Amino acid sequence: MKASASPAQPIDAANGKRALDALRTALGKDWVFAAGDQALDAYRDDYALAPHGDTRPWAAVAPGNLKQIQKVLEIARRYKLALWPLSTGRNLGYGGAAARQAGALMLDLKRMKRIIEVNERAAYAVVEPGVSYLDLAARLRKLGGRLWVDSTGSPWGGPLGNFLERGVGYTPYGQHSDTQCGLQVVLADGTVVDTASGIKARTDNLYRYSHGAWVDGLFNQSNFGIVTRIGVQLMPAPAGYRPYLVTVDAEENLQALLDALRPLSLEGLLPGRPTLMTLPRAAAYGATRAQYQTGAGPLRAQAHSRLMAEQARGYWNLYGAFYGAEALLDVHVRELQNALRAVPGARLHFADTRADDAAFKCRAALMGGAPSMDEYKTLDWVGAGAHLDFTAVLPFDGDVAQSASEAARELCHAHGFDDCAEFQLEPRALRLEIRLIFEREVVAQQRAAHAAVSALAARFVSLGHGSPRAHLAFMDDTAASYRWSDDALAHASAAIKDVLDAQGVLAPGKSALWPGRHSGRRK
Amino acid sequence: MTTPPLDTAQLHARLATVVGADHVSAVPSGACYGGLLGAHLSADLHPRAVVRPASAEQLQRLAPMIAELGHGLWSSGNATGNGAQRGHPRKAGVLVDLGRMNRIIDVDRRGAFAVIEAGVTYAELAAHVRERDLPLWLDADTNGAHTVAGSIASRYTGLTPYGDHQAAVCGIEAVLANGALLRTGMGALPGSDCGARYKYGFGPALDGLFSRAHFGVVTRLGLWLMPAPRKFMPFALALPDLASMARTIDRLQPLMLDGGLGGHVLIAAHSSDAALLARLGNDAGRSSGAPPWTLYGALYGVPEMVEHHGQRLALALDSAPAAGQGAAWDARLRQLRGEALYNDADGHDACALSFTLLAPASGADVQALHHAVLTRLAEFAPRLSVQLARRYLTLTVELPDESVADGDAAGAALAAIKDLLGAGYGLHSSSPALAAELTARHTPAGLRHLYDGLHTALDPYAMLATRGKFTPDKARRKR
Repeated sequence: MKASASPAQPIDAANGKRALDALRTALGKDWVFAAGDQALDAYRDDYALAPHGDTRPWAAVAPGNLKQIQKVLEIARRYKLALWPLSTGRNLGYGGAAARQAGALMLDLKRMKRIIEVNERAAYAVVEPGVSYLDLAARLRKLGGRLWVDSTGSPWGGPLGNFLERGVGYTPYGQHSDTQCGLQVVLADGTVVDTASGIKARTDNLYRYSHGAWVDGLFNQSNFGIVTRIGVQLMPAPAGYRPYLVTVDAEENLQALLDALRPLSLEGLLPGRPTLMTLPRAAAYGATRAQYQTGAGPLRAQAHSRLMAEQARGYWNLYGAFYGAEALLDVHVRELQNALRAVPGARLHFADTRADDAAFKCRAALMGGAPSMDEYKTLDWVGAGAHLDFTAVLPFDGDVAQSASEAARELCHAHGFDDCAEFQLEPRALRLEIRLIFEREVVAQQRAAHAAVSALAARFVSLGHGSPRAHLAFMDDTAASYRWSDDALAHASAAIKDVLDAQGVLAPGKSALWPGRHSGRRK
Repeated sequence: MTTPPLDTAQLHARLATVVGADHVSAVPSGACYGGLLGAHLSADLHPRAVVRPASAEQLQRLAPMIAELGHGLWSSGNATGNGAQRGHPRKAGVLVDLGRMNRIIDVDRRGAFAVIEAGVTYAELAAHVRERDLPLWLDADTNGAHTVAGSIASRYTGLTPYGDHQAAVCGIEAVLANGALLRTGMGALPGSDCGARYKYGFGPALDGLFSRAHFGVVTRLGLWLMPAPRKFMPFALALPDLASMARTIDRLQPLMLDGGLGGHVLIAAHSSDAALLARLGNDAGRSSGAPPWTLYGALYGVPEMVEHHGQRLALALDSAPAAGQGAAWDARLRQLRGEALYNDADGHDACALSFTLLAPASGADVQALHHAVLTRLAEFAPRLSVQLARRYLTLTVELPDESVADGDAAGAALAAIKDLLGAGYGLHSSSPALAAELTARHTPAGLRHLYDGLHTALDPYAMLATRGKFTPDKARRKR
């Protein structure tokens, strides 16, 4: 069931004025931003793609509490506005703070930034949408650092928004969909739903499932409600921590490396989210491409060799970490060393030899529960850079990964990009994240990145490798690829959308969920 | 939509056009489907037929047929009734028994997962793994006749590191009321072989709608299995009284939280162990001198890591973790290995009144729960057991059939639950005889409104479950 975008219904001037007046009455004039207000500039994709077109909003509001959100919903329903909720607006590489279409009323939840609870004994926090990883980390530090935060590479984003976009971090608590526990959601009709017990039980943020159906996943990558509060389980600071790097020189030894690591991963001996980066991806943390090659086109072999020699890294660079008491760390290291014996040219490195490795510094911080902004230095690879990401999920299988990596590299090179990819290791699957780094203001490069992702998506879907995230521009196509059995999943989601948000006021087009598209019956 | 009512013979004949006459029958006399059809259910709601489809495709044809007849669709994995629907339709109808859908589609040794149909039992899956000598462990219910899918739908838990059965699910296939067959996660991408390897696809995750609910009938699922641990160190500890149990919970809590103890810890009252042994045909547990509570747990993993955590455990327990002895230990040891303990195919073992409460993992809380439960239920000789998980504990209360014959046991159980919910504890689960009442009383308005909306969307004829009418904003206007 491939849905396509249709322009949001523009509101006429008279109704627009009435709607804005109503919003100002509800929220106060300081928190309503209309056309001409510079504040509206914030609601765009920082890494805009020319082919995606105009996404400028009609206006924006910043409610301060739940009641104000309910009032905004009332006004949105009355004037048939398209409301686009936003927590911190840092979904960079996937559309940033922009709406799917132009003409939306942005519902900016940045003012709702209370850390409602930190429970140190049971190791969790409850936070509002505007709380960033940096905010939460600061609070945890102030409390004595007994709990870690699992931050993404963009820590100005927050736990709530990242969960909703099904984001990941890099400690053992890195699969954010698995560490969420309890949500508060406002439905389109204003109803407030607490997904745990709903009675404010003391176990609401301890036990993930309610007494009835477990509904939290409905609000992942969807527009079925406005999530206003989240419980996040936090990792107790471990007794010890040892980040490591494995380098493998030859590109063709990816298969051997992954097949050697797979049993360890399944046994839980590669905790966290070990991240296996290509040479350009890892090098970009501490170098620019101009240092190694001038002119357009992907890095050539000679540049690769120089980079490997000067930065003492391989074509493949696996950043991971072990956690626990020293004795446990030593066992981990021994197990990893044993596995790597089967991998030609594999070398294991620790912090003592990676003082000059900017990637190691950034990854060690992230894996050690400390937010780091350094991942954004990778955008300097091309000067004033931006990025567009394409992610696919593969089985944890060296042969499949080798082929996928070759396909990714070929397509990146064909569109003029370096092979800036990373595999994130999960126990049974690999997430391959391919990053197109382009010059932010160069329209031709924006077009090339867009074309590259289109080509990658087509190739990977044909190989059976699904994409678990997508930039706004690719949401319709991505959702359409999950079409098994006459689009049954999409029909079910569309049916839910049409009942819970019959007027279609919430984030039309988010994750390809457009209002009014449910046929009602299976064909 | 509805056609004139069919008599029972006509109904059976209609259903037989899909599944064959051999697979349609009246509900066997005495069958309770694990309490789904217990005495709590008024006679006019009892299903008029049991139908046993062989495939999802047959179920896809049955669902619209049952809707067209104006009947309800009830479902159960098999006669044990585990995982039977919650919130059944308020009309008689057809009970779909998925027991024939018991194909083990795949057990992937390298990836440590299985893909199975909804009628596969733990005993069948265990036999499959054993016969092929696969280095994989299950985490089974105590009753091996339970279906795996049903256990997940019931949110049962086990004791191994894969004891959170819901968390081990990876990808669901389900038939909806309109006959649509959907797959969640990566399974919805044609050609993907990550359906049972990676939990999430693109867009909202509907998986949770198919447990503790009835938004559709699960026909297949992916299940993660545990690679056989290199070392397994089980242990038991006698606890002389409630105070020592509470103290032990407080001392174990940090180890649970940081993952030092990978699985769940069971603390069984003597009466709970004795009842298990009686079910196994062994009355050794009735011997005098047994401690009031016994703690059972295990460490799993690489030998040196197990030994390291064993040392931490010794500090917490004031004694080195050691194996237990006797018949109860033998049974609990099998549970710690993830094995089922018995096969009871008719499901009568689950007919008793039982419920499970949730509390923070603390000694003070377990004492408070214990006190409140005994205050209301002492006369019914409740059997108690505690499971300690990473961040919470559960207290399971079972009221033995022989003790509930006199008095209003269900009423007393509901009163105890009400007391405890009022005191800030949570409700994990309850036997079917209590579930309807608890759901009606204790589902908060917001969540109920959402459930009504989901039923309206996915089950427009209310053939799968009773629901309220979804009127936008209803819940808010009521307040």
